[in-house]
Parts: sequence; structure tokens; C-alpha cells
Amino acid sequence: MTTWREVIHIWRKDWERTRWQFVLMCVVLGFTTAQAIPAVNAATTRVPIGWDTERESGMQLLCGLVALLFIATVVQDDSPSDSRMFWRAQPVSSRSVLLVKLLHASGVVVALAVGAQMVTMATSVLPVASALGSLGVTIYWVLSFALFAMLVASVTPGTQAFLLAIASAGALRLFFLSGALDLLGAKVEAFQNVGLRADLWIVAAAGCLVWVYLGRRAARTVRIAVVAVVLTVLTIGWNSGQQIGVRFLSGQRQSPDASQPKFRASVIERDSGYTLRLETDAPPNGYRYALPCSEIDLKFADSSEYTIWPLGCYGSVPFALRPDSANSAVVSAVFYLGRRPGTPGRQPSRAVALLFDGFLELQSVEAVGELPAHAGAVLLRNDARLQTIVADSLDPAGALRSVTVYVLKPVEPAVYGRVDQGLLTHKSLQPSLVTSNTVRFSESGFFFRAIETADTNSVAPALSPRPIRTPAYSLALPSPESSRSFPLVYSPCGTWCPLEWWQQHKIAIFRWKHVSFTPVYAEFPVQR
Amino acid sequence: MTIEAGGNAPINVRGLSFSYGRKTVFENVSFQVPEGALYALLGPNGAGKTTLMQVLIGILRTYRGHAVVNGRECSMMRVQDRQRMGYVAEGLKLPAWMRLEQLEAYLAPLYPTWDRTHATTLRERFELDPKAKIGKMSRGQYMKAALLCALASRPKLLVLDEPFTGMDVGVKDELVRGLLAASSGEGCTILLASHDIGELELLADWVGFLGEQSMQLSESMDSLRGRFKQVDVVLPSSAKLVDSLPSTWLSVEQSGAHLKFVVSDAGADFEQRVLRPQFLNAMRVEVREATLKEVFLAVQRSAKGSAGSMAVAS
Repeated sequence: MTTWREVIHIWRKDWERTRWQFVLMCVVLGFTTAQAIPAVNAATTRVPIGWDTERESGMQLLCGLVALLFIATVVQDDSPSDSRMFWRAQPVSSRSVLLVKLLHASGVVVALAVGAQMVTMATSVLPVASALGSLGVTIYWVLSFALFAMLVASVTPGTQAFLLAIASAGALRLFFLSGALDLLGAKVEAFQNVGLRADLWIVAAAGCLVWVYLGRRAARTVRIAVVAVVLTVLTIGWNSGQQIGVRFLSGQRQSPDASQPKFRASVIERDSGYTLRLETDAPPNGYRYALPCSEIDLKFADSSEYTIWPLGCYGSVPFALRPDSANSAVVSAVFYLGRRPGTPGRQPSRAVALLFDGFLELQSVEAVGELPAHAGAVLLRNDARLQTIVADSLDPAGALRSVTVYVLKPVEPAVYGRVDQGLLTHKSLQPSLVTSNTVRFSESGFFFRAIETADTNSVAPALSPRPIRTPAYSLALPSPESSRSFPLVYSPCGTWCPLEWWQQHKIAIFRWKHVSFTPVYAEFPVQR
Repeated sequence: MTIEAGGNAPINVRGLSFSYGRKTVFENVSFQVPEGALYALLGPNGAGKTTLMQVLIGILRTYRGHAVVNGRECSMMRVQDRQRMGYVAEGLKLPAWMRLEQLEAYLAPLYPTWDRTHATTLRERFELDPKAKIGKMSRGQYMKAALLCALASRPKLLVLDEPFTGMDVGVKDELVRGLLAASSGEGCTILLASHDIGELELLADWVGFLGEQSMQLSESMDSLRGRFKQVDVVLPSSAKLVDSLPSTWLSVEQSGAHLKFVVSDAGADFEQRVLRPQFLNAMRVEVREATLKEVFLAVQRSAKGSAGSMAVAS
């Protein structure tokens, strides 16, 4: 009997054994998928979407349990660790048995998960690239789960012992996530974050499984010890970023207008510490960049490292990279790097490596109209149904502190968009750790900025890469009606400007639309 | 029938040792099983009989020394080698979810020599229901199903570890006849471990005793019967037993004037040459062939003493 005939022969037996469990898995998975589909279509900004994202659901738990039992049945029916198993005395090769178990246990579970995800994605309005990308993550995550379960099943004598071992692994994991972290500190944390990346994790699990089946020349005590160590390492080193229920990747495919930008970084010393300034090439005319909040890892020369987040990022709109000159754009976000020397706290050395792990959004910008900057100005457009500008805070001398822009049109419903840990996955399949934040409030929105009247017979110059000194203020807030004051940040007249200054300016209203996401994973040194 | 062990013996074990970690199961074990023989492997519980059989069947591969079965080192055993072997063990875990006919259908393609007619014959002889689920069978039926699976491929070597467990007398008798037929008629070599010594005495051509981590003896039944004698001596009431008896006198028991022991090196003129001079005043000296059970017990007791294994070695 050839190897493949032997494999098929054994697989038939396993199929006969587990067909009803397979049917049960299909039913449970079907319910789970049906549950996930409405959530996908009603996704809000903070909710991850896709199959297997309803983590609180009892069905989700049942789904995992049924899969675990299926895997345990397949593996333990021909257990490689029990010398009393019938197959051990039969003329079948361990290699064939391993192949069948891998195909039947991991293969079936992964295939069903991919099927469920495909159905979920097919019912959503996600871009094809994103939907396809999500399948990769599904395969990756479910395969990790299945291999781990197979490894546990291969060294446990029965279903009860198997479930007990899985529960113990969960308890061990919880212990290391909570109590032991205090004792062992950054070592375990660093190990969990970088020590065992998901791809290495899969290789380790698969390798150990192969060794359990084929490495029978090793003494039993050695085998038990090795498997116990590997299982412990895998349990502690599980990359939790992969566990977060995001099964959808932003499109890896870049549009022609959104070529990968090159970042330049510089550190600015200030009184209270250091800030990071990121520069990149300006986007094409009629486009702009938005830089959602991203994690930045700092690696210091003394090998220490820690993570910072942009200040004031939570719940805010995306930061816009605004053109400051014809050739570059400067991010307006400020990244706090540490205290100055001589003050308490962690001291960054002079050699700092920045690891930027996030993504950039390209938005197309369209001028909607302009408003004179005086009280009661109104602009109506068919597709926008905007805006009034109300001048307020008029002082006795006739100066204005600010104007307020109202949006009367409800913000368009979110088509998709959510951010959570593990949302974005880079080429290395390392998830970016964008913390709970908003990538996209909606597919489009409005923003405004002040432009000088002399330049604005039309608003077209505002879209050119010419230097514009006034910042852009987003109007695309998540509430149906919103307003935003235009503060006098860049005015030459300070807190209060006379009416003459206002009369020389107009408020330009722009509408932006999402074009694409570009994952950015860059590491560069910073000299300061 | 006289069967000689030679270099081409189906089972050839030399200097075999096996340990579970630091715990030594047996050490430096050597024996041969001649072709066509029914070799009974005896030993107390925990002596390592099952481990030895699992080594020979290729399940345990981390041994030291040499264990050659059908010309192949057991640690290098291939699928093709297994196709000529059958294995039944008391704790063997058959797939409980299968029906017997499913199990037969699964096994048939794995063995080129699988004989469906023979399988049917065995099933009928063992009175097994082909539709019965393995997991629902009684202990005896379970063992019979395992034996059916081992015998239906007409193996050249059959390794049986406590196959009679849970069987009633009738079925056991049926099985014994089946084994004898396989051994004599089909040239099948059988290695059999069992606690049922009475049954083994009827079946075995060769016998090996594994105890105290080593093989205490391994020889043909004919040789064993010639060598081991049971001696009963009735002494006068005033007679005293000599202080030191030969080390080949095993399992010595004295109850009043009645002395019993097993001699492990009895020759043809043993009674005249050794016994009579030793017990000149004896009222009665009776010598007969020792049963396998008596040999087993004598060797077991002897093995526990320091010189035991030396005294009984064949």
C-alpha cells in the first residue's frame, strides 16, 4: 500500500468516526456566522467585525469547545503517546497517521473557519482586498489554535485529561498575565510581545507535534519533559494580539495615488521633555493624509524599550498631515518621548530608534464652498446641506475671539471601520498595536480652514501645496449635528482680532473621502 | 516435535536492556525463539514481560542491546515487517466505536495476507457478532475480537500478552486448539505470556522465565522436564537436615519429618548418585518430573535469593 493510499485509508476511518462531530461543528459554526453577519453590517467604529468577533457570545464558546472535542477525538483515537493503542501494533506508519491527523483535525477546523469567514465577508461591504486579507488572519489564528490543541491531545490520555490540560493552560496564561508579571516584570511581558511571534509559535507547535509522532527513539521521560516545556512556553508566549477578534485587514493593496510615503523624524527638545516631529512628502494635489493614532516603540541604546502613544489621541479625529511647504508635510501630532536630563524619570539616551507601527490614510479632498467670516453666514449645497457660521464673543471694541461652524447635516453612517488591537497586520504578520481608537468615523466628512480673502476668488488655492498657515478643523464628528469653533491660533492679532481681520478672511469648507489605507511599518534612528 | 533455536530464529535477543528513566525494567536479557515454536514467557507481575513484548513488536524503541525479529532490528522495524506479525495484549485498546465488521474491513487492506474466509471462520468459532460494537463487548468477547484480528492475517509471528484474560473455559480451550493449529500446521511462531501456567504447560515447546530484571532461564520444555525434578523425602523423626544443601536444590520446605524441594540439575542417575547417599536413613524418597508451576515457583523464589539465577541457569 502506498503512503497516499494508506493516508486515505486511515482518513476514511477517521471520517467515519467523526462525521457526526463534523455535522455538529457545522451547525454551531452556522449559528455563529449567522450571528456575526448583522454585526458586520452594523459595525460601528469601535467594534471589530467578522466571524469569531462576538467573543461574549455563548455560541462562540460552544464553537471553540466543539472544535476542541473534535480535535481531541481525532488525535486521541490513534494517540501517539499511549503504547497500548491498537494502531501502534498495526502495519501503518507513524508518518501516515500524523499526516491524516494534521489534515483531518487542523485541516477541517481551519477550512470550516475560513468558510465561515468567507460567508461573513461576502455579506459585508468590505473591499475585496480586505476580505481576502481577513482570510489569511483566520487561517493563521485558527491553525495556531488547532495545532496547540493537537499537541495537548497527543500527550493526554483521554478527553477529560485533555480538557483539564487546556483549562490548566488557560489558568497558567492568566497567572502569567496577572500575578507573575508583577514578579517577573518586563521579562515575561517582553517575551509575550516579541519572544514568540505568531509565526514562530506555529512552527514550534507543529515541530513538537511532529516530534511526538515520529521521534519515538527518545526516552519517554525525555519526551514528556520536552512536551511539557514546549506547552508551557507556548502557553505563556501566546501572542495575545492574535487573540483579539479582528478578522479583517485593511487593504494591503495601495492605490496609485497612495504610494508608500517616506517618513523623516526629528526630535525637538522642549522645556518639559522631548517631542517627535514626523515629516513626509506631501500628498498629491487634491489629497491629504490622515495619521490615525499609532503606537510608537522607542528602543534605546541601552537595549531598554517602551511604548508611547500620541498625546490627546483618544477619541479624537485622525491627525492630518498638513502641507507646510511644496515638498513636505508635517504631522501635527506631538509624541512625548521623555523628560529632560536632570529630571526624574526614564532618561532616553542620545541614540533612539523609533519603530513606527501604524498606518496612513489617504483622503481625497474636494472644496465645497466658502463663507465670509461674519455672524449668520450660511452656505447651502444640495449634497451637503451645510452650514452656518456664527460669530460670537464680540467684545466691546468690536473684536472677535472665534467663529463657530455648525454642521446641520447628519454625518453619514459608518460603512465600515473599526480599530482594535491587531487590526492591521504587516508583511511580517505582526499585528500593529493600534490601541482602542478610531481609525475612521465614516467614509467621508468635512473640515474647514481660514483662507485669506485676497487669495480666494475660489477655494482652489487652498488645495494647492502652497503653504497654508491655518490648520484644518474637522467637522466630521460622530454626532448627527456638530459644531467646531475656529480658534485664533495662527492670527497675527492674538486672542482677539478686529472685524477688519475677519473680513479679510473666509472660511473654506472641504469635504474629504476615504481613498485607501497604507500600512506603515518603519524603523529609523533619530539624532538629537 | 523437537525444535532447535538457531541463528535464523524468528526472535533473537542478545544483551537487551530497557529502562523507563532511571528505573531499569530488565537488563542484559538474551534468548531465542525457534521457528514454529510456542514460547511461553513466564514471570511475576512487573517483571517486564509486557515491556519486552512491546520491544519485540516495535512499539518501544529506546532499548539497548539487540532485539531482532524476523531478521530486522526492532528499532528499525518497517510497515512491511509488521504485516507478518500479530499482536494481542490484555490492555490493547481496540477502537471502541467500531463494529467488528468495520474493524475487519479496516484491517484487511493493511495486511496482504488477510484471509477473509479465515476471519469468518474464526468469528463463527468465537461466536462473535459482526454487528457488535467493540466497546459494548464483554471482556472475553473483546479479547476474542483482538485475537481474531491478529490471526486472520495468518501471521508468521504471533505475540500474545495475557490473551486468556476474561475467557471462560470453553473459549479458552477453543483458543488453545486454534493456537496449536497455527503453530504446528501453519508454521507460525508464537510468543505467549500468561499467568495461566497450567494452560501453558500443555501448549509450550519452549519456556522462558523473566524475573529480577533478567532472564532466569530459557530452554525447551523437554530439557526443562529432564532437568527439574520434584523430590519428596520422609525422614526419621530424629534425623536432622544438613546445614548446607546444594544451591541447585530450590524451594526447600521441611514440615516435621517431611522434606520437599525441586532439583534444577537432575540427571538420569540423579536419584542413585545424589539422593540416596544424602538421605541414607530416609524412610521414603520419591522423585518425579516437576510441573511447570513447581518450576516457576522454585525459580521465582530462587531468583529472589542472591545465587538463584546462577543455580537455575540452563
